[in-house]
Amino acid sequence: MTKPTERGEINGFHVVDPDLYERYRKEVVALTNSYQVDINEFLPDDGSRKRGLSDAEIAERLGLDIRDVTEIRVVAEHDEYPIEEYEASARFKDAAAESYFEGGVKNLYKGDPPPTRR
Amino acid sequence: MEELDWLSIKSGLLDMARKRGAEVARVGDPALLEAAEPGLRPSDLLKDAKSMIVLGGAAPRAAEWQSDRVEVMETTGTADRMTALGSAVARHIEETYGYYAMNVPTATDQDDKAFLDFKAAAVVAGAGTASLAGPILDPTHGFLYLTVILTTLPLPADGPLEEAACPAPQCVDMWEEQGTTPCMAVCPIDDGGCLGGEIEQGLIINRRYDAERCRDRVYHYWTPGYQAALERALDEPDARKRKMILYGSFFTRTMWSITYSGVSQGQCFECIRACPVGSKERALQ
Repeated sequence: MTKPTERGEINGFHVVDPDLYERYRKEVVALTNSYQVDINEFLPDDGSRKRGLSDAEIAERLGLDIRDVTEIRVVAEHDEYPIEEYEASARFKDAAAESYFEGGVKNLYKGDPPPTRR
Repeated sequence: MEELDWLSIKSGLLDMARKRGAEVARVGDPALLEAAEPGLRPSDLLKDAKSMIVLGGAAPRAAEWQSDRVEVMETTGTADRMTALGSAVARHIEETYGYYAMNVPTATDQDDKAFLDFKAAAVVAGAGTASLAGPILDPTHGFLYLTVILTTLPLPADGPLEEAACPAPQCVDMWEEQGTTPCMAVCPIDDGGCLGGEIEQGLIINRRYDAERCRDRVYHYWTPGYQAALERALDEPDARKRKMILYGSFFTRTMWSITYSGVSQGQCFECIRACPVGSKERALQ
């Protein structure tokens, strides 16, 4: 049996190897519900619905340890957008609410939101 | 043992939930969720679950929707009220009828996923229908917070609603005129937003949804924002700059939000603010 350190359990909990993360990050995220394209959740379940895969299913498909898949997915979901996205969120919400209050859905702002007041 | 009147029991339970604040109270068949992703199925949580009670309610107040301050909606989440109601109903079932009843945890599971596909549960029970924006919409009330009780009590199921709340007639009109809908117009996936799709014959097709961008907006000043700011702080070699990050407004507000987590989880409502479903409930004087 391998030692915990050899299994990547370096901090008292399982941590994925950064190289493994970089190698499989895009593949893992593409198999989840992270970016949903035409999963047809509105249609009857006649076989046209397409759900994201579970971590176990992804592990089986890619030949990885399920713990590594879970860690790759969770980290990658956080990693999808840089920290600047939070500033963009503030600008978006300010602009969206302000344009709605000024004229309802016909007045929704277009394009790049202005700088936030926050 | 005397044969129980399942219909009366169901009626009593749903009435109880409504009296305690549920706007919507329905029963679904948990077997219909067995096609969900493994780990998000009712049988993963409670073996032999026969019924799935779905309650919706605790929507933000009309005044909160109307506030010019986005920060009001960012800090007035009331999902915990539905969680408390679900726990009360579960307790009542176990103590009164002697059947197992679990209010499904609304927190995240060990793999940063939900314990159950709550949206699918609501659709199956008829506690609303799916929407292009994402949240389940009740035809009358629109957006509601949900809680789900799994129980071995064999209640008659209600089943899904026959008509979808989304797209609303106003959205179909807007699509035909402008090629967009209110939610897509405010948060367009091809222009820095989260939502995309089309309407064809009154149905939403080719829906696209960027869950990660949506998460960064909904959990803006919360766990994801905290992790991102902490990483930036740990990477900052200049102690003075590090101090500006850790004591600055973003990190501080994020810490406040986390410590009041029950009322601060939902922090972006712009797609639903523009949604006509339930808008009558939000229009007061």
